[in-house]
Amino acid sequence: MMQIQRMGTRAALICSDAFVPMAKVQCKLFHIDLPLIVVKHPVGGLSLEEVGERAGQALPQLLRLLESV
Amino acid sequence: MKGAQTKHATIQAEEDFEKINRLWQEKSWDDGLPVVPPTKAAVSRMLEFCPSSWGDTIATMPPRWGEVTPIRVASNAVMAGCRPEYFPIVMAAVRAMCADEFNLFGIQTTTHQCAPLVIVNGPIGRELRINSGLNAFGPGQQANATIGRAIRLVLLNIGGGIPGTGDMATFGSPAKYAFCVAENEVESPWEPLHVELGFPTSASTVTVVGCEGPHNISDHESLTADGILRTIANSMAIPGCNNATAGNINFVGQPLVVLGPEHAALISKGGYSKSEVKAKLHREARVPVRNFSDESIERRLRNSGRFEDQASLPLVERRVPLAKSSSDFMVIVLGGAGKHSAFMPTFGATQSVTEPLKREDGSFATSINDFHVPVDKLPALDDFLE
Repeated sequence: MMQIQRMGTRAALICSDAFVPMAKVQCKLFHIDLPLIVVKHPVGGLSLEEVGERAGQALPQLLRLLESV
Repeated sequence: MKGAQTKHATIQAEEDFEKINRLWQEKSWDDGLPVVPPTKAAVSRMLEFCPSSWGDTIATMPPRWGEVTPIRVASNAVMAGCRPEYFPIVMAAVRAMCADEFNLFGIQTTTHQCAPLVIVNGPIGRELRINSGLNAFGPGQQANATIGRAIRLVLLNIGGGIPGTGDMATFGSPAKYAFCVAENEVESPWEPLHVELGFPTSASTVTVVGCEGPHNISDHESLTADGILRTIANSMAIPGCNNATAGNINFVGQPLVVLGPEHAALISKGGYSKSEVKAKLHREARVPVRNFSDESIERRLRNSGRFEDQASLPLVERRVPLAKSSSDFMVIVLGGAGKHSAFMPTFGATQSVTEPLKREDGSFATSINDFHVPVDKLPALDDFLE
C-alpha cells in the first residue's frame, strides 16, 4: 500500500484495531500519510456474518476517504 | 545502504549502575532485565574481536529498519553481558538474520511465538564452551545466555521489535530472552549441520532458524530405530503447527528436529543415515486431514498444493506433510543423557540461514582468536561517535 501511495495512487490500509499502533509506527518510519481503515480485531477466522460486520465498519470509512479525494 | 558510514550517538550518564538501568528502562532500551552499562571502554573491548569497519552499515533490520553497524551491535552485546570473544558469533547471527530468505520482518512482527534460534557448529563453538550437552536450552552457561540475549537486544534496540508496535506475538516466548546452542557434534552419529550444508568439518558456522521453543518428545521404551522414529513422527504430526498450515503460497518451512544423543544413537544403530531419517519423517510425520477442522480444510488446505502426491485419494484420507521435500527437514543432535528429543516447528514462511566464520582474507577461521585485533592496531572509537 505504501508503494502504491508513493507511486501517486491514493491508497488505504485496512487494519484491525489491535494492529493500529504497529501500522502507525510503520507509516511514521516511511514518512507516508497512509489512511487507515480500522475494523474490529480479528480479521481472520470469522464467520460470514462477522465478515459482513467488518465490511460494515470499513465501508463508511472508505466512503469518507473517497469523498475527501 | 550497505557500507555507508554512520556516526553513532552517545549519551552522558552518571557512573551509577542503578541510575543507568533506570534510564535504560525509561527509554525502553532493555529486555526487562538489568543491563551492563555500554561504556565507551566496554564497547571498545568488545570491538577488539571485530576486524571489519566499525562504523559501516552492514544491513538494515526490520521492522524499524534500523542501521546495523558493528558499534551498535557491540553496544548491545556489552549490555547483554557478552565476553568480547563472543562478538564474532553475535555478528554472524545478525548478518544471517538480515538475509532476505530469513524473513526477519515476518519473524519480528508476527503473532506467532517464533524467535531466531542460533545454532553454532564447528570447533569455535567448543572453544567458546557454548553448551551443546545437558540442559543446552536451559540456564547456566555464559556463552549461550549472553550471545542469545545480545541477539534479542539487537532485535529490540536496532530492529525495533518492541512488544506492541514491532512485535505482535500473542504469547511471546521464553525463547525471546536467549536462544543459542551449539550442536552436540561429539555425540552425533552423523555429519553435523554445517558439513551437511557443504562446509568443511574444520569450519565453524552460525545458523539461524526462526522457530518455536522445543516441544519435548519422550520415548523411554522403544528399542528400535523404527520405534523411536514412529514416536517422533507422530508427535510432530499436529494440526496446530505452522509447518502444517502456514505458507500455503510459499511452502518453504523447514521443521527442525532435535534428537537427543541417546535417541540419535539408537536410530543410527538401526542403520539410518541422517538423510534417511529425514525421508522417513517426510513420509510419516504427516497430519491426517481429518484432524483439521472443516474450516481449516476449506480455507487452508483444499487448494494449498500440499497433496500433489496424493491426488488419487479422497481429501479426508490424505495426510499433510510438514515440508515440501525430505531435504527441507532439519535434524541436529543436541543435549545430554536421557530418552528425549524435541520438535521445533518454524514460523513457516522462513528459511534458515548459515553464516561461516571467516577471516578477513576469506579463509575459514579455526579459532576465535583469528578475529582478535591487537589494541595498538584498533581505530579510536571516538572517530565513529557524534
